[in-house]
Amino acid sequence: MRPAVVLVVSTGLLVALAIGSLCVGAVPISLHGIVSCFGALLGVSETGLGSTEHTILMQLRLPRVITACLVGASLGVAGAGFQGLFRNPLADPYVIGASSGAALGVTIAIVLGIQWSLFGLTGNAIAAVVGSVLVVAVVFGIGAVGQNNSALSLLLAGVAISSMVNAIVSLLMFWNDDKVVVILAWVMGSLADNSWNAVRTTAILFVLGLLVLGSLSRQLDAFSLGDVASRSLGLSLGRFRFAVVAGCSVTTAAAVSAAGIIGFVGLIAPHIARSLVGTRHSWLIPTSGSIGALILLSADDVARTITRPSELPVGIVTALLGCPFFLYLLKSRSVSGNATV
Amino acid sequence: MKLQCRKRRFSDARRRFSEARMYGASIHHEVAGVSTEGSRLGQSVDRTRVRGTHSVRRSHGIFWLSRKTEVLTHVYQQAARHKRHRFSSVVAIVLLTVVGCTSSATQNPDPANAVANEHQATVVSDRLGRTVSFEIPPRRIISLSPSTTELLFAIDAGDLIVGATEHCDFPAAANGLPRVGGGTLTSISREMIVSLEPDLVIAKWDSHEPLVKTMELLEIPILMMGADSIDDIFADARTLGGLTNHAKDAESLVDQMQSRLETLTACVRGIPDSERRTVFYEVWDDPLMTAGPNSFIGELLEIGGMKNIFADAKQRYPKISSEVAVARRPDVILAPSTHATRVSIDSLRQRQGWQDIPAIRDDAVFLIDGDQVSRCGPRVINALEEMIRTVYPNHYNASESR
Repeated sequence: MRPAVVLVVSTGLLVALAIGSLCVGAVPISLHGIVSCFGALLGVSETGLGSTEHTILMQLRLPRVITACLVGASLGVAGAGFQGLFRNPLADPYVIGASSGAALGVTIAIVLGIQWSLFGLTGNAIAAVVGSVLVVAVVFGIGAVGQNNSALSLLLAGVAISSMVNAIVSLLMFWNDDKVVVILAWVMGSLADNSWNAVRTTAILFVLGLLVLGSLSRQLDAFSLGDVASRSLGLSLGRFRFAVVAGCSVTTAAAVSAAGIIGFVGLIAPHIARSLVGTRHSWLIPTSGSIGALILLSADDVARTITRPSELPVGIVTALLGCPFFLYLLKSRSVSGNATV
Repeated sequence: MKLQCRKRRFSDARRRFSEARMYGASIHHEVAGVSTEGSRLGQSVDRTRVRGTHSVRRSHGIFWLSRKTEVLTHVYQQAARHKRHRFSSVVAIVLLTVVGCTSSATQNPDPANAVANEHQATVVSDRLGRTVSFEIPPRRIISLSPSTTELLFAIDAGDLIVGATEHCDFPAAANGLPRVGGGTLTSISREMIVSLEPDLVIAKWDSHEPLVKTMELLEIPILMMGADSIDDIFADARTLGGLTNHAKDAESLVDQMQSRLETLTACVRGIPDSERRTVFYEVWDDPLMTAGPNSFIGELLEIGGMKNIFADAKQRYPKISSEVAVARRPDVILAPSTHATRVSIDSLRQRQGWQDIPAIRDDAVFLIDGDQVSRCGPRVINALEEMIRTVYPNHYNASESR
């Protein structure tokens, strides 16, 4: 299939799924009601929804669906970036400490009871972004010192620092046992408490990261040939790595600030995308984004409907449903991709 | 008199559920920002009554401020003081009497107005130190913890509850309530809450904290409550009683609990120190957790005249090492009956090194009704009684026969 067709089809599917997602939930809303509600927004028609349904649609469900798309897309894009950077099919958005950094930031914010907000972002979201960027910076600072195989030393530094940061988080949770539930809820990942402000911030961070990584796609292609080959093609490796890490971190921060830590999407979305559009990053990155969004949106739909009226943490659903699907792909099409090794 | 609130973030207020929140919102501002409010409060505002009549009424009038300001400032300072006091629960309630305003009454001859005037705006300071404003009495309450549900039923306000969690199973009437999710933060469906159109949500102060932001955006008043001691239960009962016009029921509940508490205290008072038994309370088996003296279970042990072997713990529910539990040689082991796998004398004997603990040697391992002992609600006194009956049967029976 031509990459352009894949991208258009997956984006079309995403839009259709998003509209379908608006209908399902604790209170079903008819498609007709949704159309009339959007018509009313544009001044075309009268809204056919009651005030409760209107509030649910406009204040809860629509921001949630959009956040799910943005978070999934962010994770897919960041995953594609990191897998390209490390030339390793196991890399995911959290591989160099972004998730543990975010968890540390949020844990500190919750323990200190920070309540302030900035640009509509809650203290927790800001702490998540600051934490993940700081930890990634430390990892990068340590990992970039090694001269020879910088991607590998970056990976190792990431693993080591992540473990340390996770230990600090556990220690803080141990000392503050009355806050454990809140911290855990955040670490498990949830899209429930997102407002329009969160949508805006996530969108800004996502677009920023997408632009950075998109502009690096040709360099990522060259880099996949190996350090020596890419350097001989004129790639300045140090600056390139910094730019990729910065782009991926911003994108990861977008996801983390809105939804906490959601695993697996960032790992499998690039693999699925690679099996569909090949290994050229100019197609791979946007396709990973739309596939990531599809995965997370469908997982969230399951999470908020299957145990109605309760909800499940969405991270559980992504792993439970995503994993068998991924294994099936792995078996039938050898997804892992040839550009990664 | 009409309390006037200024028109803030009002663009889609038409959609909101009830005027109560907007109405109450002004009071919050009076309390929080007394100095600047005088000039703003002269404004009038459109109020939309959604539930009930759906009619839009307009009220005009001036909120005469200065004296109220003093009262409110005082209350706010009081609330702030209590905020510092970590374990004091919901305390400051201000009932602002809604005095009839002749001029607006003549402008609003519709009968619905009379109903509105029965309503009072109130400011409550909750467990997180927030001041929450809404109109009382609330008519549609959603309770997000079993102990709050039990407490509301115990003060005869159970008919106000329109939604609860899956764990709210007592009293039997609570089983019929619509569910909004499990007890945990992630499992609660925000959509379900909105669809039940509550005018008050009561959540757990520690585990539901992130809900505050969402509910505030939706302009649904949310009170963060949850008792951690028997005194907290009394305070919560009185607060809820005051809010729901069940103050008398709340007082009689408190009186009843207090008199039972006195009877039970009297029954263990005479036990000499040498006969007091050391107790290990096993909150959870894996990881091994107990109740420290700061938890309400620790409080129950203390009131019940038992020596908690982990009375030196700082945390409420610390994870502890099996070695220490063995080394401290408890005379009695207590556990709630609601464990996934029930604690039993046999299962404890299986544990490495536990065979020599006096409690196990003497068969002194007892289960306490988990729903009563694990919920800090009106039934904790039952749990206390059960604990005393099992640990000090002779003293208990002696006081019963007396």
